[in-house]
Amino acid sequence: MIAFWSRMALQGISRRRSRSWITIGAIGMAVAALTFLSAIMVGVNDAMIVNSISVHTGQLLVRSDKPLETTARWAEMSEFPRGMKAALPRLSAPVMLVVDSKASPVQLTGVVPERERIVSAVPARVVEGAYLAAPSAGAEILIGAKTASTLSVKPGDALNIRLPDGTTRPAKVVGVFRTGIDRFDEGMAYAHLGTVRDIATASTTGDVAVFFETGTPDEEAADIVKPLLREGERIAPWKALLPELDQLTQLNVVSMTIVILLVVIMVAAGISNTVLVSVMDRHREFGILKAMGVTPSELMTLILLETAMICAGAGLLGSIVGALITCAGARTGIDLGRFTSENPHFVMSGVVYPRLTWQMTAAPIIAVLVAGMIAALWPARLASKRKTADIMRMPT
Amino acid sequence: MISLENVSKSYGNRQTEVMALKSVTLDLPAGEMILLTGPSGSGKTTLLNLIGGLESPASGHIRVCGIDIDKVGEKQLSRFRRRNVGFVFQSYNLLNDLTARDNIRLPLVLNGASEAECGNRSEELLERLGMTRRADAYPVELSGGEQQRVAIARSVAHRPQLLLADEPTANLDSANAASVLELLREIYRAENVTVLLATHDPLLVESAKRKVFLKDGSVMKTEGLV
Ligand SMILES: Nc1ncnc2c1ncn2[C@@H]1O[C@H](COP(=O)(O)OP(=O)(O)OP(=O)(O)O)[C@@H](O)[C@H]1O
Ligand SMILES: [Mg+2]
Repeated sequence: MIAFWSRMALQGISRRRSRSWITIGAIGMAVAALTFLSAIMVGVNDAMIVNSISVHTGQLLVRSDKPLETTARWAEMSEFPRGMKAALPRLSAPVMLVVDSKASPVQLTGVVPERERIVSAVPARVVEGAYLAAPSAGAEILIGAKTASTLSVKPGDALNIRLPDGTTRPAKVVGVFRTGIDRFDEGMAYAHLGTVRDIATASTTGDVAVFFETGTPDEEAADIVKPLLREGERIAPWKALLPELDQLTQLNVVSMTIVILLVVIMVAAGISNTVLVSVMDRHREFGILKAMGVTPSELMTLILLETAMICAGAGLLGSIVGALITCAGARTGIDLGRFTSENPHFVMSGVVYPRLTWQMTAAPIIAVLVAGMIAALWPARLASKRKTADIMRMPT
Repeated sequence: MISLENVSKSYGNRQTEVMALKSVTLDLPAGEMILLTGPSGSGKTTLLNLIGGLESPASGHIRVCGIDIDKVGEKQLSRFRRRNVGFVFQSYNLLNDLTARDNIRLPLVLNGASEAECGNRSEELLERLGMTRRADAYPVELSGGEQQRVAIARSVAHRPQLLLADEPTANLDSANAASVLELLREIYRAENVTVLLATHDPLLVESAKRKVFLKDGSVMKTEGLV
């Protein structure tokens, strides 16, 4: 019997073509807009994560109890497994940079420059001089803009690295970077991995920042890395390393969900009105059906089916349109630089690539469908409860 | 077949109350064509609606096809109408979204008839109407007379025991009215259905054998009924 009522509903929709299209168009437009907005929100989150993790942590960090061995092994890796973009081994030691009477404490981080260039934000953020090149005879060092001004040094100048035990090593400044994040600009300095290995002490730490293709789920990333781990090495995902960023992206999802709900409530009001008008000028039709023995609940089924079909059609159409707009936007990227240039979560770039996720694509469709049914309930009930005799006595 | 016992029906509230039917007692035999007549406002439509279970009486008992219309609920009334009753109203009887053929098929489908049954029966009726070629037309594409004829075919498609027709010719010119009545008679003869026909067409009343005269909600007299 449900097949029969579906056929009736479809017939009703197709016979009132222009009205159906207007309704489908209106709901579809809302769904398309929500789909695109959601995709931008996902893109903003992607950008924030990519920007933030590219400064240091990667999508996940491999921590190690034996920093020298771990960084050496990962540095030798000639090829990365599928899905992995790069693994950046780093050794870190707390040192004091000294020039004449000026001193500045930094975390001296030894890196593999050609690896860093693939994904790290720092090489792209060199404002004076150049990033670290291939290892040379003397120790080279890249310092943050704030450190540079504290020490009043510029690329080409010499300085001394003073170790915790009081000994010093000479080094040459090759470049100055500015990320916009104070913690890095005045607390970090970069050198070749070998330079830091040479001065390693018990307090030297080591880890490997691992980067993956955009959109790789965290569990999948962990699964790729797991087989490469040795004893004493463990995975720290970015969510644990940057909890404030994790919260910020969750906040975005919540805000978007609220926007979806609000829009859908407005759409539902529109649907309710449309169904009401539609059942009002079909009173005669419903009266005839009831005179033929159609029960009130069957009549309600018919009206709700019509609404469901319109909502489902509109939802589908809307998300296709939304997806197409998203694809167009994703091709070029949307430059939000004007709104993000001072934002530490957009260190690298303010270009956002809208991206569709299953959840955020399905959410508007399901929301419209559910809201549409609820919205149609009252007018459908009204129509089904109306007395047949009264309807049939009305002149047409 | 149809029996009414002291049936009364009123409309409106206490101040505006109109007694549409006053203590009507009637016994109508099965398989006959019975005319219901009387001046406007005498209660013809009300009586048909009560018998068809579209309205419930204020008091009294109504029994149709073995069912106590005044006692059963909405759902059973729907089922009763679906199986046993066909309605023809004054005008605009058809569902505008369905073609003539689909209108005729509708009561069959509602009663769970098979695809083959629906097909056979609707073609048979369309042929009787002489409308086989207009079968795929929508109601708006049909004349008033054609619409009424399709409505009559639809009302008997599922072979109900009872056909209730409320002034089916009132909106038609005399030629169309005549052809609709001819069809009604033909179907009554062929289908062995009880027909209750409300009209105030004096010519029609003249020609009928069995009739009930209503006035101000009461039965004035009957003819041809025992
Ligand atoms: N819904 C209603 N509310 C109030 N009064 C009503 C209603 N329906 C019918 N009536 C009244 O009930 C009485 C009987 O009406 P009914 O329609 O049965 O008469 P009828 O014989 O069919 O008349 P007609 O020949 O004009 O169709 C009339 O006085 C009418 O005004
Ligand atoms: Mg009447």
